[in-house]
Amino acid sequence: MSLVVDTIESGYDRAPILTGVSLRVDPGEMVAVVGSNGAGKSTLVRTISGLLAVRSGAITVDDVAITKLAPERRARRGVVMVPEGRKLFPQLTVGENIAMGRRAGRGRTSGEDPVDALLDTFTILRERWGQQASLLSGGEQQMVALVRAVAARPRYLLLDEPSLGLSPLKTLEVFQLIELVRERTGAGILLVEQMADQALAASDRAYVLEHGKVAMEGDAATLRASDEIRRAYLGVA
Amino acid sequence: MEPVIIGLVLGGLYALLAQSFVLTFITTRTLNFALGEFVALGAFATLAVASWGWLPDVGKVVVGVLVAGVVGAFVHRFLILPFTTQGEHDVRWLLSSVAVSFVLLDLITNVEGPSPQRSDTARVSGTVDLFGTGVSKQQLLLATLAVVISLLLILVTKRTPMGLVMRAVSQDPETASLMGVSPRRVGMGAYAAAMGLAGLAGVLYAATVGASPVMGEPLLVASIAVAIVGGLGSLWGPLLGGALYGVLSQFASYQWGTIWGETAGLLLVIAVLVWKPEGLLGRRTEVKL
Amino acid sequence: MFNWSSPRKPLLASIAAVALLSLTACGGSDDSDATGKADADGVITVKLGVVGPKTGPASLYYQYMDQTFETFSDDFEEKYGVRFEVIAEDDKASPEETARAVSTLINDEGVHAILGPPLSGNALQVAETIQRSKVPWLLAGPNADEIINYDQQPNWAFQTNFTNQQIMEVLGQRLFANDAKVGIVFSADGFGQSNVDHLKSWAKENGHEVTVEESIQPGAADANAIIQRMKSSGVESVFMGITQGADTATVTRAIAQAGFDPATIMTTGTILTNYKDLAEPEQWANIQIVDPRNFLEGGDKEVLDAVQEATGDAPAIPTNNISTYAMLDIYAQAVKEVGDANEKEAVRKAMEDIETVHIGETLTIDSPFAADDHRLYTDDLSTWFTYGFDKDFNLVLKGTAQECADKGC
Ligand SMILES: Nc1ncnc2c1ncn2[C@@H]1O[C@H](COP(=O)(O)OP(=O)(O)O)[C@@H](O)[C@H]1O
Ligand SMILES: [Mg+2]
Repeated sequence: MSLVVDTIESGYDRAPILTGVSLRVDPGEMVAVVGSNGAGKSTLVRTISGLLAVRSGAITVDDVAITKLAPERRARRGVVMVPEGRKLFPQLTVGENIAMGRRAGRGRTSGEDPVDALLDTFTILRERWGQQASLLSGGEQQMVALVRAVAARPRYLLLDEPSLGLSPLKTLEVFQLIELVRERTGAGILLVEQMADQALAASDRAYVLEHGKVAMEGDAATLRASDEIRRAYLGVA
Repeated sequence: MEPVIIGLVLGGLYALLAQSFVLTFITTRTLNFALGEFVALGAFATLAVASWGWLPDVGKVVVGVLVAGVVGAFVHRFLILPFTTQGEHDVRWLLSSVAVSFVLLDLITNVEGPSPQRSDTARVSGTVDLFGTGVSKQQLLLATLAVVISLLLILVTKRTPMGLVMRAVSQDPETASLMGVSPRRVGMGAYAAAMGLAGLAGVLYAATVGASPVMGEPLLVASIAVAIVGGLGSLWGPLLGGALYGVLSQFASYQWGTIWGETAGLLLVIAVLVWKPEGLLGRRTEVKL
Repeated sequence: MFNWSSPRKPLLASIAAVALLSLTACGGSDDSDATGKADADGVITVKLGVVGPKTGPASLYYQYMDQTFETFSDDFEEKYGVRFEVIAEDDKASPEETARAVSTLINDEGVHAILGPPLSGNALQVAETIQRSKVPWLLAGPNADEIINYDQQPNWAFQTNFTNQQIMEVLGQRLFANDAKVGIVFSADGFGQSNVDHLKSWAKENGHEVTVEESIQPGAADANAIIQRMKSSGVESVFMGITQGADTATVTRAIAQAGFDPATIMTTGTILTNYKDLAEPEQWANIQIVDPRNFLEGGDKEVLDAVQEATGDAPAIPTNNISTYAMLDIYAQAVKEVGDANEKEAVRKAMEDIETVHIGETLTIDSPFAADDHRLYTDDLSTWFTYGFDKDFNLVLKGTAQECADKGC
């Protein structure tokens, strides 16, 4: 029972970007993917969510192949992504954005609604409920994007650079929210970040992506401590 | 007063067809240039069942709407969608929709012949007096329907889950797909609804001018004009556009002769394109991260 | 009685027929024996190029030629020993396609004569070419006078429909009777333009003026503005020079809607096609047409009845079914007299000098042509008929044009 990416190749029109990437996310686990700009991190999550076609290799969710499914069908199976740049529906309200998230989770609504718990903690979203999404601040938008994803009842959550463009304070808040999401939903989370230090600190395991390949993988704490990582990604000479 | 009344009523017919353009545009960013043939298709489908005595007129109209709608959905799935796969700048659908127009026109002409055929379904003959102006009841019916249907569409998109999905797809189809929504399905549904509308307009219009393969063609320019003036992105647009275009072109026709009518309408389009290219009620698409 | 009618074909049968047609159309044979000379049995087979809108919305204008061949080919062969091998080219009702079609027929097919195109605008387009190519040109459809330039002699074009100048000569007196204010609504095409030009020049020559001129686009959604302009200008006589009966219906609908009640509404035989089904009896109650043909009895009617009987369809364009018959009669006689369709100049001359034109069994017209007059009909009011319509759209003879001009009808 996990999300398994097995030696996939994918990319855009021309040469493939990802060449033979494999990884695994277990339920309830937080897995970081770090790597420099252009390494292929977004390409990876877009491929898992179905926005990009897999050229070879396979993706399975809890032992069921989803390699050929359209994005909407993957979402309905619980593979939910928060895209880079949040991608809220700009002219919908906060409430409507979250209602859209619920559509993917319609078939899987057992248990208590995790959205309520998040809204109770981050009450600002309740205040903004009727506001148009494009009028929110960057941090608020990221929160709405996360809550929208939670509304989709994710079994596996793919987060593409949730800290992008946020102040350190806001970044902290977003990471708190992500932790809460993991607690409340029990979903496996694949966290793509350029902020490698924070991402590694928050995660159980991690993969390092370089030029479309997995260069390193292992226990997040171990990687965070390794010299190589510190030099390449954590800005330590 | 006369040109205003007649213009408003005539604008209703254009508005109904402009609504078709708006529907497909907001959901799929494509326009079906075969719209005129769907007008004819609806009219002929209704004509084909006109002799079924057991079916009330409303049922016959529904047949016309359904046939046009179903064919519309198929056209989207097999002849529009495959030609939109290469991103925003992929405009091959433009050519394929024009091709659909030719093919449908030929098919309908081959089967039904070129001559207009009388259609009595949903025909209301006679005129009514509106503020001293004689208005054909049939045209008034069309105009009323255009208003009612536009209001219904607006209500549906604002108030229902289906409408929410439509608006989401309209703003960002890719992200909508991440919410478990199939933009292709929504596009197909929008095409079905839009072509159904065209079929409805066809049935009602045929009751006046007869059903013929080319009956929709002369309406095409005016309806595109109306859609552009009102704004292709707004469901209110066709009502405003239809009213403006209708009144202005009738006014010019009355004042200076009919050739000036159409010219005035098209000048209005140019003015709008220069001054507010997204249409009077359209929204400039903004990108915000 | 005027009740030629087409049965509505069941949809499936039509589809099957179309499929079958397209299959058989591919299997045409090339071994033509249209040598233009007499064969062993003394029959001359003529290679006749036919240009017209075989496909598309104007295809009725091809159909009337087709119907006439289908109905009368055998008759002409029997009567004159002339058989027509038709080489048809589709002009799609467009000027460009017409030019291409005519060039194909003359240069590639080497036809002995050309029938068509039926629409005035397209005929104008190719007039120079055909005149230069020295091929007998059989104009059984178009009404525009401008197609034939009599300054060029010998002239190869012959017209068996009435011309617009003629009909205006006939109508002018009627429309402008008692100094009435006259308005014309004309279709925005070659036919309509020719109509308005000739009405205006008639008016000018006779000291009148046309009060309102309005064009209508084919398929226009309404004609309210046109009629309102006529009404508010005090127009008392309306002439509709409109190609399609459907557009005529739009105009008469607007007349009814506006409560406009001019003393005289005149139009042409084009109203006989596609009008009735789209209009209501009260809209045609006051309309009259003039035409040099007698649709109600004699040879003209015989032609129309024969077409209905042979094809099972109503004559596609009744006036033109008759003019095509007349034209084929003229050409077949000329070929018979010359004995060889390849002798085009001799055939042309024989047409020009024709003594008697037959229409149906019983109608004859004597010596219609001269070097500077290739028109079958004249503008003599006493030879034209004025018709009205009863509530079932049957034609009702009101009298000759002369009688109606003198006494009103
Ligand atoms: N839409 C695209 N079309 C073509 N190439 C792209 C596209 N998006 C990204 N790329 C290329 O793919 C590579 C990986 O990009 P991406 O996955 O976005 O990297 P990251 O998310 O790790 O910064 C880069 O070289 C980038 O230029
Ligand atoms: Mg990225």
